[in-house]
Amino acid sequence: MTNIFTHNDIEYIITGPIEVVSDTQLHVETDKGIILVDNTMDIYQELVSK
Amino acid sequence: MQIVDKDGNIFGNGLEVTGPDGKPKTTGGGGGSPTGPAGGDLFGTYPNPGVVWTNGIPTYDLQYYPLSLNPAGYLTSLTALDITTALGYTPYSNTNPAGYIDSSALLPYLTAVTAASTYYPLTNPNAYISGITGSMVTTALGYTPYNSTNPSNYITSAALTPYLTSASAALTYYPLSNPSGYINSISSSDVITALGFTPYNSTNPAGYIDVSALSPYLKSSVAASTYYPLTNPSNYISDITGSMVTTALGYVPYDSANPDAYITADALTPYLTIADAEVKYYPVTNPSSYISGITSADVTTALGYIPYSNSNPAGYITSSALGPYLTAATASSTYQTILVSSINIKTINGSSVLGSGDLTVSGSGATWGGITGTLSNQTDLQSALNDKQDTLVSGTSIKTVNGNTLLGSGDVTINGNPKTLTSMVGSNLIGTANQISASYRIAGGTIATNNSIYIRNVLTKSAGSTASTARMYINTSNSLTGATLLATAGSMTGATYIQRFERNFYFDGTNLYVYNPSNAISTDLTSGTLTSVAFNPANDYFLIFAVQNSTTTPDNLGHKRVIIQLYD
Repeated sequence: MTNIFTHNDIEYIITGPIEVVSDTQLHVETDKGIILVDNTMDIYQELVSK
Repeated sequence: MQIVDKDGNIFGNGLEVTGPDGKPKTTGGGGGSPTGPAGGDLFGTYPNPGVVWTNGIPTYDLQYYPLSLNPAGYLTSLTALDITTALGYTPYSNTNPAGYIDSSALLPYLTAVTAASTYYPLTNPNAYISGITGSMVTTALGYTPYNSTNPSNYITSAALTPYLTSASAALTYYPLSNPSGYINSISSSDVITALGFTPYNSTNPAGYIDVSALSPYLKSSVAASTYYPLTNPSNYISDITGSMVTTALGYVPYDSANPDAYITADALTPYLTIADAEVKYYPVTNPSSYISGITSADVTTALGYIPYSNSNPAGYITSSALGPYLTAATASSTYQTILVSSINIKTINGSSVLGSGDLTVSGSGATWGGITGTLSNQTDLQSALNDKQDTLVSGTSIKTVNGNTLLGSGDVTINGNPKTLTSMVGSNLIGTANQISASYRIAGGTIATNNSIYIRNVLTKSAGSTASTARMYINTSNSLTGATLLATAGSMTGATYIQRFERNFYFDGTNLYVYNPSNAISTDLTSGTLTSVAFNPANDYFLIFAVQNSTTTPDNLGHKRVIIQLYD
């Protein structure tokens, strides 16, 4: 599974667990904090399938 | 043992003859060559007996030809019939090549059996033809052929519709056999109508071209007296006079025999002779002489004024020399026009204010300090005085601010900490989505190093009993997509719930220090894990306050009042 993703030209390294917040949102622990990833982001589909 | 025939021919070798008892007729008890007299079909003695050719088979010599004596006889007893019979066919005879047909020559031909199974025999053509039905013919032809017993079906009346019967044709058209009759039935009026005009009649040419038709035309005699014939152009030209040419041209043409007459002296009046030009004008070949002949007086006269001389600036007035002077427009806007009493300056009580001296304006005559009487009787003045502010006394009639008097000139500085960035009301929302209840934009440059942000938040939930959660995020856009979690409030499970949701964030110049964002707790009054969130104070950020319910309805949660304060 990819542990690096980019959003708004910022690279995030996944460092911790992934929390399902809602049907379209995840909380992903990264090196830059807990990021809300939703289904408009490219990395969402890969993370939600794990 | 070996066999010798009557002629002495020897056959075989090693033959063994046995007797009736089955024992070989040999001596020696079963081994070696027999000896003794021969008997039976043999005669003589062993080991070389002879054969009695007449015993049993008396026609040996009649049944077989001896090979060594008469091979030719054997051959000569064969007949052509024997050969034909043996072969089963008549072999090719080089004396009868025409009668010989080889197998390759027979390839194009059919055997009788093959022909019988392939073709109908000519002996029964009717049977073949009778096997073909009308539908088979129609199908093969692709149409129904003409039936001589039923011609009307083949050619129907409908098919004949476009055609004329002989009777109709005779009534409609002239037969080609009588073209004269056709023509004879055409009248002259038919011809004229068809042509659109009366054709020429060779018996009456005059009638065709009548006098009226000739009216635009000239008779030869008239033409001869009116026009010059093309055959005699010289006579035509010689009758033209000079005046006729001049009139026609509108001017007197040049006469090569008299050029002086063409250019008359009157015509030369505006012109200079070469001699005159030389005494009046400088030739273009001598521009220097021309220039030197011009005097300053000539220039001044030609210009109409004395031109500026850089050796005589005093005689020339430059624009800078005009500096002290006013233009008429400047003067009118700078200076008061001459005053004229009652015209452009008013009078007072009919008296002109122009001139010297003093003008006395009479009134009540009273002077300040000289007003007499009881003030309370002056009700309008008393009312006006009552509305006036009494003299302010700091701390007595006007408060101080933080101990600072507000009286006097200057500015009073008020201590700004904390600075309230906003105090806003969020929305109570239903639904299971994590959605924005309120948000606030922190403009770039608001937060500086060592500043802290204090967020005081009142959460309310007015319905539902399932768990509802409030969160705080920060993002560079007013959206939850890609937002960073800053804080999570305690879960609210009952209806009509309230929670004080507060956090303090510290900015060290690079990161915001926040309390563990995922720890669901109302306030950060207790110690906990520090989380660093990258923050660029030059950028705009949005603090986002989100809510989420566990059921779609009726649970609703909202950031009811959000106060954001900055400590610098």
